[in-house]
Amino acid sequence: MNNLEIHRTKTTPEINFNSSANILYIKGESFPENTSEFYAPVFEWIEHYLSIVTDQSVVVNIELIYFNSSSSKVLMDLFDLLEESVDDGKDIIVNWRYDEDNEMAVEYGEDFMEDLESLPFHLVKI
Amino acid sequence: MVDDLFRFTCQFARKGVFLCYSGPTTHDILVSTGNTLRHYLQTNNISKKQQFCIFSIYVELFENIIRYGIDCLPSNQDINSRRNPYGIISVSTDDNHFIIESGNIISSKQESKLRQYLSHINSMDQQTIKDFYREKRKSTCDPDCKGAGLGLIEIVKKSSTPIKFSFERIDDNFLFYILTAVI
Repeated sequence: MNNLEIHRTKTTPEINFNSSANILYIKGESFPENTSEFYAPVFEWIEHYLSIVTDQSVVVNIELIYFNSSSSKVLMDLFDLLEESVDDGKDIIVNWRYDEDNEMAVEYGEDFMEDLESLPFHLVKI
Repeated sequence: MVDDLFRFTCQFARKGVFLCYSGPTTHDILVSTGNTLRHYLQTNNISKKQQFCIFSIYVELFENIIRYGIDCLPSNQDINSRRNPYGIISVSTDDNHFIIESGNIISSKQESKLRQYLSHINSMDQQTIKDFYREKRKSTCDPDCKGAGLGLIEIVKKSSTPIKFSFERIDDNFLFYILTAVI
């Protein structure tokens, strides 16, 4: 399947989903004008990808400096989707990458982690 | 008008207002004024955590106006066509705290629901609001909600005191809705 690449803007993150390397990257800031419109193709891609992935090790790297509350909801939906696939036996991990200086990014990461059960979720200092 | 502008400027200076926008609100204006705010906070050596919280409250308040505010100019356009609701937003400091305030026009019908909701989330302690936020983030949105419905909770979570709110009567149909958050 094709890779998904969306360039970073002032209010939307860089999306780099590589289906042959099995590495998905979301990096930057997220407070889009229309959150559901921006993330619709991202979810479409992921849902298709998760339906064809078998025993490959999938790494999802999230590195967000700032995101608004509607993006926070989108991230939770994304983690729920990934968790469902893990429950189906797929090998997926999330790396929540944060800058040491960004105390809030760590807090948000811990907060997501508490809401997840089977999805391996790692806080990774950059 | 010239006299008024000078008077406004003096009032702002006395109240420590360093950023104020008044007019039609759009996402582009949120981005450009938000960048100015960030730059100001960075150059004034505000802690990273405070910078993050002030910016975050600014974005949530601004987005609330864009999503739920009513247009300032009379318009015959369909309600779903592109809107630019009127809003005013300011950020000030009194040396110890930062105050982020927003004002916009809403329909009078919205008052009781908003009052009830704001009082409800204001009364929550740190743990309760955290749990409520997580519960809302996991659930599907209300049908009349245009974002994730988490904005006001996010503001209360990040504020150091309960948020203040007031509703000033404009006429029988409209109110001026003011929210004040302190960090």
